[in-house]
Amino acid sequence: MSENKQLSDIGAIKGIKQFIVVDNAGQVIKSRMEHTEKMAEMVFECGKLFFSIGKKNFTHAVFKRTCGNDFLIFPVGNQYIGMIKQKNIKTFTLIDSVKNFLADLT
Amino acid sequence: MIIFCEDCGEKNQVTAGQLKTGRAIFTCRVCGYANCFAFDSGPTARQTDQDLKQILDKQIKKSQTLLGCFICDRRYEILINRMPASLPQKDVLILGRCVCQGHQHAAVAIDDLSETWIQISDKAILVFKNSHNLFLVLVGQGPVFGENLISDETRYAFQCFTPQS
Repeated sequence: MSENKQLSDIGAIKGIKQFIVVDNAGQVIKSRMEHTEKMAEMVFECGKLFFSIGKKNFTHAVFKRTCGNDFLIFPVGNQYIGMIKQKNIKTFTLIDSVKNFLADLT
Repeated sequence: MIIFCEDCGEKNQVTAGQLKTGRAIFTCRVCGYANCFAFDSGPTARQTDQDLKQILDKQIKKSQTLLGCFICDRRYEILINRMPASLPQKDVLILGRCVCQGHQHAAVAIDDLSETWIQISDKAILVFKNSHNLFLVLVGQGPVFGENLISDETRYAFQCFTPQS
């Protein structure tokens, strides 16, 4: 799928350390993340829960970590992207970059 | 306990001694800013339901962005509800279950998880858990970032909160 091919370029965004893409059945579409299975399950379960509250208005979730490598989830169509932020970039800067990237996909 | 730098917003671990005077006095480990700010009502080591309700009400009244908040327990039952009266209790319950379960799922995979922010349209939702397995959920209006929704006083009060019953 061309969307997946483009989506896989998300790792090139400045500030993303690792990323994973899962579909709405919990299957891993692409992973550049350690502990793929565990993280895929988390992205899928959290994405599904937050989507159930906001439906298409759910834009993103941030899991703040004391180490600074925050974890972010974005819904994209019927998939979810999970990513680990590099310490040296502000969370809101990365959110804006990802939103811009995703807007260009559609 | 964790206190946020007034200047850069980074978390700093401070000792009880640095809070004894009713003020948080510390140098930020990241930006070096010399923080020195008061906790308005000087939260005590243990917060009762009534103490916390007062602090939450004060924060909601003072805040331009905070719509409301609530606290639920490990079974996701609502203990304190300070959401707008127009929102039915069952909706608060559903919201609490979804966001707290999400926080719990994340905590299994992320061992140093401190808080969860969820953005739904123009609403920001912030979830914390304290050492008594209670969740504080704050809901803000406007495209705000989670860290702007809660004061240091409220954070501290919630960390110290244990239900009376």
